Amino acid sequence: MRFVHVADVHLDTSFAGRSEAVRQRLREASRDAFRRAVDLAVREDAHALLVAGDLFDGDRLSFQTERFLLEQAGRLQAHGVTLVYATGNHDPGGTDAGPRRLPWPANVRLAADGTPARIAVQDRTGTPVGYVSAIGHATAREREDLSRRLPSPPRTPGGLPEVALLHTQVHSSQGAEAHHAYAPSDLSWLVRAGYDYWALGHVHIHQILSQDPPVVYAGCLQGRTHTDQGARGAALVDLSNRSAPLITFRELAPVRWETVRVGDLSEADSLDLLERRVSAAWRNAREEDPGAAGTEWMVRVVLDGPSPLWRELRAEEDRNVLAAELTAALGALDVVVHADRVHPVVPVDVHRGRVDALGACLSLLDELAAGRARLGALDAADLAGAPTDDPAAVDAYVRRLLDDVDGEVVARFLGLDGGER
Amino acid sequence: MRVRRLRIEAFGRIRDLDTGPEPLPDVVVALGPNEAGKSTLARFLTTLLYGFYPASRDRNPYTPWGEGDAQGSGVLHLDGGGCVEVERRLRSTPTGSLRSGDTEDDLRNRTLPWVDHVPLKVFEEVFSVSLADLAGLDATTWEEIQDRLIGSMGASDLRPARTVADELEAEAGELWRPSRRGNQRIRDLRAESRALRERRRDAADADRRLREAVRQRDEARRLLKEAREERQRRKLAVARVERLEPVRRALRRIDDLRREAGDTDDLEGLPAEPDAALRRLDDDVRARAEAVADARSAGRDPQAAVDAYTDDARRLVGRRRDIEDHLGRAAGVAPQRARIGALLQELSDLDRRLETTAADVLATPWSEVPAGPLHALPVSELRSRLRDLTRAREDRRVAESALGRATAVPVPEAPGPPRTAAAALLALGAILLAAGGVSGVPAATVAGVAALAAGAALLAAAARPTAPRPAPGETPEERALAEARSTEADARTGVESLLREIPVAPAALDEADAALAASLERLQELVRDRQERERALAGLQEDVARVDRDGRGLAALFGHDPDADPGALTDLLERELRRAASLAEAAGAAERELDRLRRQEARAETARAEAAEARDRLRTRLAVHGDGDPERGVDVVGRRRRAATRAAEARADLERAHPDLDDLMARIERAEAAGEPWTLDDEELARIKADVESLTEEIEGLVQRAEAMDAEVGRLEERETADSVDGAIATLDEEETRLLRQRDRKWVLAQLIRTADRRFREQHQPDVMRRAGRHLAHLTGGRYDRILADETRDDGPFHLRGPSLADPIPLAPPLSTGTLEQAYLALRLAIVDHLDEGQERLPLVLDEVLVNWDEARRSRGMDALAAVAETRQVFLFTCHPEMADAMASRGARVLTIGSGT
Repeated sequence: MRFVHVADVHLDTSFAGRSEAVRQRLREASRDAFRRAVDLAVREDAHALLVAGDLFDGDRLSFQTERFLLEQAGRLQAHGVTLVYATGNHDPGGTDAGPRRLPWPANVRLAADGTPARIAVQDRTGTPVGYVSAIGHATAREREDLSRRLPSPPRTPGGLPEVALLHTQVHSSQGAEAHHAYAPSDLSWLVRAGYDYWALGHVHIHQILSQDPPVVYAGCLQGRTHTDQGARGAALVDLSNRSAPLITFRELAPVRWETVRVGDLSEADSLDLLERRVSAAWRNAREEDPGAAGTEWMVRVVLDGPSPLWRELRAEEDRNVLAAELTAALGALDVVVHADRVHPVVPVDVHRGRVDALGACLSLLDELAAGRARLGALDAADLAGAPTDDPAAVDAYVRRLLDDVDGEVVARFLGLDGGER
Repeated sequence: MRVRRLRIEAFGRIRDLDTGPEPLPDVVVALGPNEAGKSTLARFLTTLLYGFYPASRDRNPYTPWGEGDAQGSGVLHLDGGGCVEVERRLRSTPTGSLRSGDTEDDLRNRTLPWVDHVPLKVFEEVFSVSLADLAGLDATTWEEIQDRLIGSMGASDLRPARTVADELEAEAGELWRPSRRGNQRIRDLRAESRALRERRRDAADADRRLREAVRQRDEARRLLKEAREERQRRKLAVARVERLEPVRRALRRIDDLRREAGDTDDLEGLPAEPDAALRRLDDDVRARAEAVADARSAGRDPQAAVDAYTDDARRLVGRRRDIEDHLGRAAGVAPQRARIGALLQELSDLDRRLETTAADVLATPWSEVPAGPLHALPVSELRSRLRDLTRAREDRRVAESALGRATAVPVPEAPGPPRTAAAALLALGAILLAAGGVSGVPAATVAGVAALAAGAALLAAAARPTAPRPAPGETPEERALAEARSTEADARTGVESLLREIPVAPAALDEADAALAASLERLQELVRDRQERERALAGLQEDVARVDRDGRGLAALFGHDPDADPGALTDLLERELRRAASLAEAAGAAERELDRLRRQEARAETARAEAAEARDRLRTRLAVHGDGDPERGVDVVGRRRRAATRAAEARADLERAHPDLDDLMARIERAEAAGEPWTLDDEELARIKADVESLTEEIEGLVQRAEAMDAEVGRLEERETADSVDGAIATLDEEETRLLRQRDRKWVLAQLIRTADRRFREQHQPDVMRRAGRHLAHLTGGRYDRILADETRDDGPFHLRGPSLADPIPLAPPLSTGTLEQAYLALRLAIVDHLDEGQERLPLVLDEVLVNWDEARRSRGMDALAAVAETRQVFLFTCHPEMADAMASRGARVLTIGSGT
């Protein structure tokens, strides 16, 4: 059995972007990526396209996206490709809304209500070539380990390949902490369950958690934010030989998200120099990872530390001008410039140890960073962006906020900074 | 720092004020009524230290009215020693100078370096104290001063921690505050986001309406399709009756005709009119048979010509090339034959000339003359010797004449042999020899040889020399003659020695002279000519003989006498060959004609056979269609043919009348397959037509509806989509998240600074309070001796303690105004002390601060000021002369303002 394994397509994601044109392109990019996945399935004569959840970003697709999705399903049908779709936490199938509402063509097999389904995948002649056991999320907050509900596959010598399809957070997976622990599962159980391949979704980073049997996160098909950096795409899987599965990652995302961090800006005393610094950093990064031909780039430029241009970089208008110039210079789809932590160029160390309020501040920062002190009387209610009311979480949040603020503190005491934003 | 002299050219209302060279003391009282210029003087003092502010002539309120600039100077004694003079002037821009000894620096509008540790604002607020200020230190300034005093420990490069924290909190507050007061960027974003969510609801509603519109449009299209199909069915029914039925009938008629015609494949190849075709085939068979007979009869004459070409003729023709070669060679040797004849004639002529020439000089016939000696004779030598002989002979004759004259006895000459006969014999022999050679007759050759031999013998005889004559006597003439003779004899011997082997006639020899040499040379030439011709003749004769031999051989092959004349044989062969060739040519032509006739006959025969076969075949096929009777078959075939033709014509007519015949036929087929009726009565037909009209109207309505829904779908598709709005919302959310972090960061940073500041303040504030306590004890005469600071207390941050107080009391009403003012003055003095602790002490300017105090307080206050003046200069402004006097009694100098002092 040959199939294409995708996950976390998140069609109709609400992309944030500086302009509607960019957001529009990003929405199109998700559709383009899915179209490429269908192209891949057709081109590779795949028997099935497996979607491991979160095909939709929300419970409802736009009319145009629905139409697009049904067209692509129709294309697969025309080429005799079965589409097996197990829902995830973004597109749960427990109600009549969401995926179950769509008039899918007959080649689409939906696992949407938390009930396992074993689907025979056939070739063009109607001969079974393998089985996909799929289970989808019925609700948006599925807390149960759905992998345990899947029945053990028959262990027939010389039998057809058995594939499990599931949207889950495997505890030990890379990047799991960035996702809600929905339908959590345990890798050791998956490995023992008897399937020839686990097609997983939910964690957006492509990774192979186990080689024997393959337990694979396809990763999101198209990155959605700067947290989804790197190449994104699908896994092309060939289980013709059950004992030697062939798994190839195919980059399909037309748009990639990347971050360029540039510190030590004290020498860049003009926007032109700054732009050159950023461009050089970008070129270095691309030399190591040039990406697929034709890739469009969403670039986040994070500027940090002392800079003679701190005043300009604090000004949103100037940042936008710089971003626009970098967009052209880097050939990117869009560039955003983050300069929250840029501050005037001040010799921080000179001020350490002085007997005054500034010296006291710097000492206190050191103590906080070392965990020898904590800011008292801080309440989550005082903080606009505190993640939770949990004091420990608030404390961690505060520590993150105070990370590397020495320069700004000195600048503010010296009257070099303040009231500029 | 002490101000020891002030000079004001013009500053506000003050003009030409000079305190004079007497240094001002540590306490200076400026006395004058209200509006006299006391505040102006205080301002000048500040300007002297810090410069003009505002720094613009137009905006500075102390620019004098009318002409002139605001300007003045002061002499300052510094705490660390030293004296400087400061001059300030406000032209269009401020100028200033600082003189110290001989050094003068351009000060411009800069603050004096010794007051840098106290900002202008602080100096104005803390070091210049008015009555109103005393009781009305606003909170901001107080906190600022507190921060500077406690938090910064007097450092001039730092801003107060509270200011920094306040700014951060203000910046954070601009982004977000727990309360809704003021503008908050994040709340604005959220408001924007809410508006967007409203738009999203609209977009979602548009999406819902779009789906509904698409559903309705699809429904309208479905209904439209159904209505069109129904109308089409109705139209088909009408068309079936009105249009299809005639076509259907015609098609059926065509089918009938086709059935009658049957499968016309078996008529394929049959002529259109079989009976006429049969007749034509019979005629054709007959005509072909006649052609065969004609071809046969036409071959008789050519056959005779072939027969006339006999074997002999064939042999001749077979050897045609040999014969023609011979004829060619015979014709080719005709010139040789002619040349042979000519050569023979020339040889004969040469012989005759030889004979004749030889007979003149030779003693033997020419035929007997050996050829070699003559040929080898050196004629030129002979000529030379003959010349000698001729001379010798002349000499002898002369001698003889002399002797003759003496003796005169002549000597007869002996007769020679008949040279003429010898020449004739030689000529005859040559002719015979030539004739024998040409003719091949041996007798002629033999006779020629004999004649030549006889001629040669005669010629030899004639050439024999005569015997020498006997010697003469011994007379001189005789001796001369003998000598002449001897010479002649020698000359003659010389000649004879050359002619020894040539039979020269003695007579010729005797009289030998140049003529003899010429004759012999002529003979040599003739002999050479003859030899040349003989050689030519021999070659020609050999060629001719070879041709003649071939001719004889050929003649013998064809039965002719080989010994016959070669020319006659050649002519015979040529004639016979010509005849044989003619016969061969005639026979060849006859053969070709015969061949052509045979092919013609064969073709005619084939055509005849084919015609016969075709006829038989046709009859057979017709017989099949006529149940064994060809004649009946002719009728059957004709009838089927006519049916097929009519079917084809009917079909063509139908196609012409209905270009869409295929479509019609398909419709007929479908209708028949569906079992639809083909006949309708008028009422049914009318009802169906009415249905069509009704459906047309319905279709028009549905079309309009579908178009309207299309337009609606188009409009809705152009509307903003929910995902588009979601993107804008997400953008705002992202910005909000960023700003929230930014806000929290600022806010936390502010808290950090406040915390650090508080910690620092807690560490350093007590000392300030202690200083204030000492000043207060001075001012109150010991009633209150401490000021406590506690910002956490609800009843105020400051409290007083005194020896008579059990508990601290708040520094606030209901304490008397005097006490409050005393406390504040104490704090101000303490602050001043702390602000410039360890640095240049700046002057303290007090404006009527003691005026509201009772006598006792005032007195203690003046004492306290006098004490303060020990460490810093005090300027006290008042309109009360008694106050001035009282201070004067404590060492103060009184400057009366408004009096021109």
